[in-house]
Amino acid sequence: MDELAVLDDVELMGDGEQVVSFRIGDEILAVGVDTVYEIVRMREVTEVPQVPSYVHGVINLRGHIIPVINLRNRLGLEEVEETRSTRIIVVELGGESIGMVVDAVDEVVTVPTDAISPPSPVLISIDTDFVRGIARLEDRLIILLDVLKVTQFGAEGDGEEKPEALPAGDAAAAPAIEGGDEA
Amino acid sequence: MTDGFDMSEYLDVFLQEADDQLLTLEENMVKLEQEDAPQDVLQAIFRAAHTLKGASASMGFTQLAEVTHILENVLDALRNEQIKTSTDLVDATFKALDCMRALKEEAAQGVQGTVPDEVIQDTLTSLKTILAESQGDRMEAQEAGGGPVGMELAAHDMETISEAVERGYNVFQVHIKLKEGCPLKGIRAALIVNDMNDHGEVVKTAPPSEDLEEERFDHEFVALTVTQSTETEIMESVKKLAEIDEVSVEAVKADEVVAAQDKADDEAAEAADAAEAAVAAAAEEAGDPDVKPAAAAADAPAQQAQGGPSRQVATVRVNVEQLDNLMNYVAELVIDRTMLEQIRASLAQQRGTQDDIVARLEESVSGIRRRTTELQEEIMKARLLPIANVFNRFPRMVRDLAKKAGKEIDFQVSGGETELDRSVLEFIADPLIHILRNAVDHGIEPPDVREEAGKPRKGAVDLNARHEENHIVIEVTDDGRGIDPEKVKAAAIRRGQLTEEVAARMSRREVYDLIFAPGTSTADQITDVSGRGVGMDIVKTNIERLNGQIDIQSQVGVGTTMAVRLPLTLAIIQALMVSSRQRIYAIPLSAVEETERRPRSDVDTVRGRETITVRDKVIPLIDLSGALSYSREVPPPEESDQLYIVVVSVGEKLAGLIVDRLVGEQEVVIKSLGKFIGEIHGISGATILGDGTVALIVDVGALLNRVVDEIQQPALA
Repeated sequence: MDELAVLDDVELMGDGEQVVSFRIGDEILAVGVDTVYEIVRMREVTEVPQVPSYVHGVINLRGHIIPVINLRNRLGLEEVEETRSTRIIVVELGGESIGMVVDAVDEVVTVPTDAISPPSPVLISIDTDFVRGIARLEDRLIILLDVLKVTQFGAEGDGEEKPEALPAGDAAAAPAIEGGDEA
Repeated sequence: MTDGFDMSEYLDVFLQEADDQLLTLEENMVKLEQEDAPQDVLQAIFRAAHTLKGASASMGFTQLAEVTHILENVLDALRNEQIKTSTDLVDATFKALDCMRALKEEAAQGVQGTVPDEVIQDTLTSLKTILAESQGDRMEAQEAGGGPVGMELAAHDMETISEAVERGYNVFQVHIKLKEGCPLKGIRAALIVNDMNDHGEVVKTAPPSEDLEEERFDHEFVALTVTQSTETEIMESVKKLAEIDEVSVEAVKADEVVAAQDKADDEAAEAADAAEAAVAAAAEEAGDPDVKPAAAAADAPAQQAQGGPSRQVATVRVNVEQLDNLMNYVAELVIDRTMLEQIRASLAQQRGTQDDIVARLEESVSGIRRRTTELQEEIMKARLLPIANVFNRFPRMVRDLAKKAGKEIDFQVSGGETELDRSVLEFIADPLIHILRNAVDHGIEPPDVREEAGKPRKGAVDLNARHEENHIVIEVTDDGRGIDPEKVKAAAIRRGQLTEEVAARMSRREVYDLIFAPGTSTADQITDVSGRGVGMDIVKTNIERLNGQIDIQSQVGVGTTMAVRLPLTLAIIQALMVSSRQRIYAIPLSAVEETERRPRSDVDTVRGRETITVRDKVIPLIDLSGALSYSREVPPPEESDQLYIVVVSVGEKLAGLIVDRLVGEQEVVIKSLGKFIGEIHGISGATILGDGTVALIVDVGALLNRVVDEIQQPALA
């Protein structure tokens, strides 16, 4: 399901896709802006029993109970303590809202379609199964996350995480996009 | 159907309307047989048929329109006392109702031809046979007339007219006939009235304008207009509009209007007199001069005579989803409020509680607190529906069951106005059907048997609903043969459910519980046993699923009462909040028997499982967090000497849940964990706490089922 949102971007003058970029350790990842429902500050997550460890638990989002995925865990990265910049990106898929915990949210960028290449395990430290493509912008690489795969529950071996320690990327103190109404 | 006009978007509205009308028909048709057909019942039923006919014709559902039309004729004849109620008539009308339902269903599914032609023809024939009884051919007359178009004028209308006449204006009565089956006739009518208003002023319409707007008319209406234009001008102007079949304009002479007015006044006065007399009589009877409710009731006929709209509570239909959204917004408000409270607290720390800003903040925070609570309550109330929505179908059902079983039954329903949440409403119909069916089939004896026993031939079955605190209690009482505990026991022994010794020691209540045991449900067993129990285990399960209880009281030869007690809503439950391993849980209070604080030394180990003795019963202990199995284990708090145990039960199963701390009792709003998380064993949902965090709701039944089976339960309760 590769629905690249073709947006008219005046600056780039070409086919491109608007994405919300965020950080997990040193990597810059992104999800399509049209799947993002909301970005909120980290809040208390209630753990739920009998779920894979990457399911962090549930939160209350304006009276709705929504599940939250620990993206670090999901992508096979080491877990870190939450910081002031930790955010939950709430995506909407098939009418269900699902939150993903990320280290920090950067910005909304437009990625030209021709800058996107298929994922290569050489370039990135995360499981390419969850990657839709890699966008090369002038100064950085953006990993386009396959949100559908990430949020697919129990599809492929949803067993326990493999806690091999990867070097802990210090949560980048990037300027965060504040999630709307969250005080 | 009208050329290419897209009806699909009106279909939903039509179907909803049709459901309403069919329900009204059903409700009142049963009354036709019971009582001596009072006028208001006849009116209600006729009106429903009439509206449905019009609506289905305009939607192009011709078969439905036809059946309804003939039914309407029968009802009209009945209303005008040309025919009398009879079992045949009621049967025929019910047949028509079933046929109409089937046709409506066809419309809903968007299919055709599923209702066999013979069925429709058969229905029509039965109705026509009934009609044939009525002498003369008034049916035709009614057809041509298309409904009453009388016009009654209020005093201020009269003033307008006479003033207009004095000033030399013309007063016309304009009779408009829209094309049969014209869509959106309400809007058509409004357009026509508007058009006439361009020429002058429409003083009045018959039916009244609100009925026109809401399409509560056949396809004809009359408008009284005051204008400077001539008859022809009005005629030409109106005729230009679409979908008009016929227009006639008639000049009204002032004295005619006055005469009509006098007549209306007389009628109103008569009705008012009658009403007053009734009030006086009621007052006398009650021995109380202050008879407000009776007086209020007396207003109604007077108003009807005035031709005014009957009093209605102003309502709108609201999608349930919208109500749910509202609830969620309120919940979110509560969280914002909590934040405000925190801000106030830290501000108070900095500036002291005497500070002006702190005081003002406190004031508005407490204002918000009150408002949010009120808002929450109001929205909860908006979700409530009268139980009549379910009760309404029962009179017919009981009638049919009784007829089939050869019983005579007087079925009385009361408390239909009792309200409860729609979520509960959806689920209680089935259990109640079971209970009523049992009362009719097995409770009430055949007429001859009753007579021999010195009872009236007609058995009484009462269905009653009322509120008791936060619950609704629904009772089904019959004056039938009652449940014989000895027979129930004997049958249970025969089936090997009990030993004779156990049976001998059983209390009456315990015996009744046997009725709900699975296996008591095969029909033949029941009939010899106790005359009860068809699917009673299912009834009990369903009611317990709704956090409700069922209770039986019975006396042999006198009758049986089954009382169902249900929470008003499924969305909110009373819960005991507990903490275990730093996690907060809600345990439904309906499952909590008691809480105990016991020294650890009280714990015994039976077959490798920890147990404790509570009130002489050995019950298994379950460590709440441990039983749920989390992927991240939190170590238990340091071993303390004392254990908090929440004794929970489902049916006769008991167990003790070990928790770290009791937090308190509170009402919680139940929410689902969503599709992504799915079913979690031992957790039935989640709720949002006052501080905005989420707590899980414990599914006591699931936890117990798994654990209790592993340990021998002491003798069956």
